[in-house]
Amino acid sequence: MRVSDRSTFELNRRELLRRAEDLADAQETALTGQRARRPSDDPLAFAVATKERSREIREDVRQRALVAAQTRIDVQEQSLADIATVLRRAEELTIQAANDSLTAEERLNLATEVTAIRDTVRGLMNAEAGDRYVFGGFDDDQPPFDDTGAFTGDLARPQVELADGVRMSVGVSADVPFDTGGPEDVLAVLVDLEAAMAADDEAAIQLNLGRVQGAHERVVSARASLGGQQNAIAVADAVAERMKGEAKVHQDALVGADEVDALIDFQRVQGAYNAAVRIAAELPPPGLVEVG
Amino acid sequence: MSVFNLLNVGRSAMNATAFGTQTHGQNAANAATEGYTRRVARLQPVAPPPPGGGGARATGARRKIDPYVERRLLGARTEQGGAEARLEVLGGLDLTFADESGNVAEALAAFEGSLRELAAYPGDAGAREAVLGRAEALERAFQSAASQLTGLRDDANDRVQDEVRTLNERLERVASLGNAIARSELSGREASDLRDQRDQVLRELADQVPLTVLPRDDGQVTLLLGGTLQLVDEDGNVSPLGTQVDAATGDVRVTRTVAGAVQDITDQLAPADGARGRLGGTLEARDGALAAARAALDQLAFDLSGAYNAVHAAGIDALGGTGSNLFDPIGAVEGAAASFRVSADVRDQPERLAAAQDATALPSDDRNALALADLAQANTALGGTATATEAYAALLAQVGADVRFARGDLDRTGGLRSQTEALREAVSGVNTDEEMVGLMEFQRAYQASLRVVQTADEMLAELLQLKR
Repeated sequence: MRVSDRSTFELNRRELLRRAEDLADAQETALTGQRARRPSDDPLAFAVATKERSREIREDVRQRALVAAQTRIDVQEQSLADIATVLRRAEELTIQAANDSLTAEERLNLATEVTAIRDTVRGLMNAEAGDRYVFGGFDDDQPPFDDTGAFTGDLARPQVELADGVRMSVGVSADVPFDTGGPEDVLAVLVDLEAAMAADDEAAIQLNLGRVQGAHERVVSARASLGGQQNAIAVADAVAERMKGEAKVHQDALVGADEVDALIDFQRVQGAYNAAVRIAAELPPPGLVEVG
Repeated sequence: MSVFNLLNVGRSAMNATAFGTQTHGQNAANAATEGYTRRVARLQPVAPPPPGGGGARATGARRKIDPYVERRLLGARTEQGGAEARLEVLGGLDLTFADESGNVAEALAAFEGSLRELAAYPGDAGAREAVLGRAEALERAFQSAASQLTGLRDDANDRVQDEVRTLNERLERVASLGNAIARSELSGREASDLRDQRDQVLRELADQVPLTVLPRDDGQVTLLLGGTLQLVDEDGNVSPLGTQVDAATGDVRVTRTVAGAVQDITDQLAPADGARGRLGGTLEARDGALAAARAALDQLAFDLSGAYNAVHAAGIDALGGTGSNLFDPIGAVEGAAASFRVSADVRDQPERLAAAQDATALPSDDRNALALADLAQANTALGGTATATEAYAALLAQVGADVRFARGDLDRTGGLRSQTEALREAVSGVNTDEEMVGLMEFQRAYQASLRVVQTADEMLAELLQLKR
C-alpha cells in the first residue's frame, strides 16, 4: 500500500498521543496507588468499593459507640467495686456496733464513720464517664443523686449496636445495684444505720445489719452482671475491627494498585513512550528530498 | 516531416513536461495540506498528429481519488464523531462521581452513623447537633452532584446549538463551492482546488451528522441527512437545521422547517443504532446516560427524603412535638436531588429531632432514633429492593459502564477512521519521494525535449550553411 507523508506523520502523532496518555495514566496509578480512580476505570469494582467504604464507615461508627459503651460499663464496674468495698466496711462497723459491750460514745464515733461512708458511696453513685453520669440513665448530664440522696435520673439504659440489628442495653440502671426507693436503697440503709448508731439503738443496729449485707450483695451482684456485657462488647469490638479491616482490604483489592506492579507498568509505559519520542525525533526518514 | 515540425515537437514537449514538473511541485508543496488530493498530470500526444508526430500536450491535472474510499471515510468520520462527542459529555459524568470527598455515599454513611450515635444518647445535645450537621453535609452532597449533572446537561445543550450553527455554516459553504465548481468547469477551467475544499467541508459535515452525498454531472452535490432529510438540494438550496428549547425540560431540540412547518428531528439524529455524528452523539449522551444518571440520583434523593420523613414525622421531639420533617418534602422525582435539603422544621433546632416515640418517656425514649438508624439497612430505594447505599453503588456502576462503553466505542471508531484515512491517503495522499521521482522523470523528459529543439536548431543551421 502506498504510504503518504501525511499517513506517516499522522501515525506518529496518534501513537505519541496514545502513549503519552498511557504514561499519564500509569504515572497517576503509581502516584495515587489507585488502579480505579473513576467509575469508568472499573465500574463494578468502583461501585463495590463504594459499598465497602460505607461499610468501613459504618463499622468505625459502631466501634466508637462500643468504646463509649465500654467506658460507661468500666466506670460503672469500678464504681460498684469501690462501693462494695466501702459497704463491706459499713458491714464491719455494723457488726462492731452491734456488740453490746460498746458504749454510746463509741457507737457515735462509728456513726460518724458511717456518715463518711454514705458520702463516699453517694459520690461513687454520681460517677462520671467523660461528662456523662453513668448511673443517670438518659438523663445523664447532671448528678443522678442529689445532696439528700434522692434519685433524680432515670432508669433507662442506652443501647449499643453489637452487630447489624443486634443491640444490647449498656450497663445497669441505678435501681439494680442501689435499689433506689426500695427497702435496700443503699443510701437510705446507711442513713438508717447512722441514725441507729447515733441513737445507741442496739436493736435497730442489729436490724440494719441484714439490710447492709443485702445492699452489699446487691452491688456485688450488679457488678458481676457487667462482666458479661464487657465480654459481649469486647467480642463485638473485635468483630467490628475485623470487618473494618476487611472492608479496607476489599477496597484496596478492588480499586487499589499493587505498588510493584504499578512501578513496573510505569517503567514499561515510559519505555514505550521514549521509543515513540525517539522515532518521532527521526522523522521524516532521509528521502530523495535530502539526497537530491 | 519538416525540421520546423521537429521544433514544434520539442516546444510542445517542453511545455507538457514543464506542466508535469509543475504538477509534481504542486503535490510536494501540499504534502502537509489537510484535504489535499494529489494530482496526476495528464499528457497525451498531440492529435491529430502531423506526419511524424506532433509532440505532447498537457490536458490538465487529474485528482487521484477513489469515490468508494471517500464514501467509506465519510461514514467512518460520522461514527467516530458520534463516539467522540458522546465521550466529551460523559467524561464529565465520570469525573462527577469520581470525587471521593463529599460525595453522596460518604455523606450518607456519615449521616447514618450519626443517627446510630443519637440512638445511643437521644437526649444528648452533641449527638443531635451531629445528626443535623451530617444531614446538611448530605444535602450539600446531593445538591453538588445535582448541580454538576445539570451543568453537564447545560454544556450538552450548548454543544447541540454550536453543532447546529457550524453545520448550517458548512451547508452554505458546500452550496457555495458547488456553484463555483459548476461555473468553473462549465467554462472549461480546472476546479480541483475547489473540489478539494468542498470534500474537506463534506468530511467536516460528516463528523457532525450521517451524510449521504449524491454527486451530479454539473459539479454540484445533493446532500441528505441520514439518507432521507435533504440538506442541500440539486440547485444548491440549503435547508438549514434549527434549535428550540423545550419549555418543559429545558433541553435543546433540533428542528427542520419544511414548507413552513417546523419538524422536531431530534430523535432521528440519535437513533438507537447506527452512526450518529457529533450532533447525534451529543444528543444520545444527553438523553441517554446523562439523563439516566440524573434520574437515578433524583430517585435516590426522593426515596431517602420520603423514608426518613415518614419515620421522623411519626416520632416525638425533645420538646414533645410531633409531625415534623427531617428533610423538605419533595413532590416529584424530577429535580429531587437539587431540592434535597434539611427541613426548616429541624434546621438549627437540634431539640426538634424526633428521637422518641412516647412523650411521657422523654428524654429517655430512644425508639424513634433507633427506627431512623435502622433505615440505613432498610430497602428504602429502587422500589424497595435496595438500601440507599446499594442504590448509589448501582448508579456508580451504571455511570462507569456507560463511560467505559463510550471510551471503548471511541477507540473502536477511532481505529476504523484511522484505517480508512490510511486507505484514502494510499490513493490520494502525497508521498514526497514519489513526487521527487516524478520531478526527475519530467526533468529528464524536459531535457530530452530541449535536446530535440537543439537538434532541430542544429539541423536548421546546417541547412543554412548549405546555402553559403
